[in-house]
Amino acid sequence: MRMKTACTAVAVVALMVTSEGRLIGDQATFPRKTILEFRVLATWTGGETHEIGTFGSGPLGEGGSMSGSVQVGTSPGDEGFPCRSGVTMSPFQKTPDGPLPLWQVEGKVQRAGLDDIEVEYAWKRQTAANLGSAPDTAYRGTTHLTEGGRALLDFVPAFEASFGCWRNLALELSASIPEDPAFNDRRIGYDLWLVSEHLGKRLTRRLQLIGKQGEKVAFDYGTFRSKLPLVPPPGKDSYLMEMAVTGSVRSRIQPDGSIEILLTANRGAHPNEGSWYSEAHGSKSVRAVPGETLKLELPPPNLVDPHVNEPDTFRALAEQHVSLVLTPTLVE
Amino acid sequence: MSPDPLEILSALMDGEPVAPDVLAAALLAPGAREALVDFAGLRARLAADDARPSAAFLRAMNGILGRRPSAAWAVLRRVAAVVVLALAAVGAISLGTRFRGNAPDEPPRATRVIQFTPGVDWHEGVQR
Repeated sequence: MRMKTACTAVAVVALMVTSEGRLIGDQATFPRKTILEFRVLATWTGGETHEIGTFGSGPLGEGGSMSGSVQVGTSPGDEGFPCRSGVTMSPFQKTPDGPLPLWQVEGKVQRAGLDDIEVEYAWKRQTAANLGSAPDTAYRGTTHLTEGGRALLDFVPAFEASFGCWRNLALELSASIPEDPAFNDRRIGYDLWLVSEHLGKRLTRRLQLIGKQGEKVAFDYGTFRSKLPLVPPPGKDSYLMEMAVTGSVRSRIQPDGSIEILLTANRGAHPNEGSWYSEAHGSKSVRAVPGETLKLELPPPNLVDPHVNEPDTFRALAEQHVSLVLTPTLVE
Repeated sequence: MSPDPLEILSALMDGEPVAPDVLAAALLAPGAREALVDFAGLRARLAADDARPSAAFLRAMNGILGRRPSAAWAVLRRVAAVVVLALAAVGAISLGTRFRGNAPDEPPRATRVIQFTPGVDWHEGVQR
């Protein structure tokens, strides 16, 4: 065990030395690439919403941008379908063709963080003169997206027959981080403990999880019940508090052998005999060497409901120290 | 001097090794057949007899021979019983650990402690 600890320490030092002088620990040192996708959605009359075309570009580094145009059209349907969708995409500026929308789109990756991608975007919707069902419009903005997350940019309801068989159309933006082919099939193991210490009592629960490179893995420890040293509610023997801790972990093996980790956690608390619920959440991005053990301390619940007047309860909860203990490993 | 044929046959009945040529010579001796039949009958009767000396007989014989149950022997028997029970307990504990897969009850010691900072990377409310 001592030899293992020593090896971990050597690996940590080696990681610090080989990181080309950039800050390590809570900061990523390897640049990420991002794929941006503008997607057209359509809702069939009396049916579901489907993706009918995607204009993607990348991988783009931070500061990288893309632009293009997306023209929506229809053609007569067959085999019982009233119409067939047609979406034409081009990396060049186009002029609108027909009564259905043409979207000119631009996207720029401002920052590519683990599960937090900041994108500056712009779009302009046009239809051919005197044919469109909706006025031309445009918008420019910035959004933060999780990996695979989506942002709805534009929505065009159908208010005349020009839409044919669609009730509405929409344009959305999503971003993702493509995996390095060298690590695409690798898996990361998570030995994840929840430790609760209160009034000399120590409770632990353990989860052992495995996720692919870049995969988000959810965890849920269920409900913890503990007695608070408070006056119990009328008719009860004790003041029981229930706590729930959930979250997720997403990691990527880096070219230097370290693991970049994003851990998100939610901590909720409410009295067993009460009507209020306090919840808080957070996320931490850290780098670790495989086998290194990290302890993440979760702050106690805060009184957020002004109608709840239980200062003693929250003082007692502040004495309940809750932490997550994580050891990431490479699964061979 | 040649061995007694009856001793050869008795040894054979007791399961002792007997050379084939010696056995052949013994069987040719006068009375060998009758002796072999007698040996077999005696062995059968001994095997069927389950009579044991009574407790009174054993006490009387011990008195005559000056024997009495040893206190050291009694202590030794109790120590042996304790050792057997202890070994059984250790075995049971080991078996339980094996069934639990040697799962630890405590997490490994952390090499780094990381704290969330309220208002910075820890926020009230449900995560969206």
